[in-house]
Amino acid sequence: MGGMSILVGQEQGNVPVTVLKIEGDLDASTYKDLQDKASEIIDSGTSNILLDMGDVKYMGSAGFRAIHAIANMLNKEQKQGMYKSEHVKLLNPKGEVARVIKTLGFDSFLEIHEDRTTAIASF
Amino acid sequence: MSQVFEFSTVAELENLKKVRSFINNSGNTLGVNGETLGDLCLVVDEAVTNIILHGYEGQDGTIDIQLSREGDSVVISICDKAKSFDAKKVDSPHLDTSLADREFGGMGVFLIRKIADEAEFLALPGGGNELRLLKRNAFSHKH
Repeated sequence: MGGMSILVGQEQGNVPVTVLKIEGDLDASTYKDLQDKASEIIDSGTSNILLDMGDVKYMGSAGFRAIHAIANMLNKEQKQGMYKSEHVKLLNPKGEVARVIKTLGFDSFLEIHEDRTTAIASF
Repeated sequence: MSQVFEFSTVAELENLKKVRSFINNSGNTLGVNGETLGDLCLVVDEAVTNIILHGYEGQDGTIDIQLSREGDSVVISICDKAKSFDAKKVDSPHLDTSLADREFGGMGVFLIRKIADEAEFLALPGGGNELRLLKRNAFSHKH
């Protein structure tokens, strides 16, 4: 019984961007579903992923583990050192979710957008 | 006499949502402010996840949680009968390293220590562990 669902959408900005709209709770019982879904679409050719977090009600460290894994899967240039991921970005995290992102310092490594159009255009 | 809220669950990841609901509902009943409630859900979720994954390691087990008010603080106790856990052996994640270099794991205990005002990991005499958490200023409402 997963407390989370993922809707996959395709957008065209400067480059093609796959939007994963996550709904529900991202915890240790659901994070693998996100990781697996991302892995599946990356295998079929996706290079840029926007994670729409607007309907994520809860996210713990397991959620970050999934996002971290996605960022590394998309780091095809094998970039090292300090950088913000160019290939995975977050859209509209709210409330507690936004607060935890800051607490864990993930805002240093991930671009966070509030507007979908701006987010798509940023890739 | 202060009210003690109790919740027991089978140690399975599918029950994490019920654990968070218990914290939310009992905290709301006591009048815990919203930000603290979010913190408590996160800390308890991380602790229970660790017990399930690293304590019981997929074996059958139970987890008992108590929540109560002490003055302006919320006190939570989480007990298991899993193998002993030494929090000192858990390294904190290196938050100043890049994503590519960062290692998975260790974030649960890091979050617990960072967010709770007190987090005490105790080995129980008869076997098992107790995590005692305290969060201060839980009833003051910020504007």
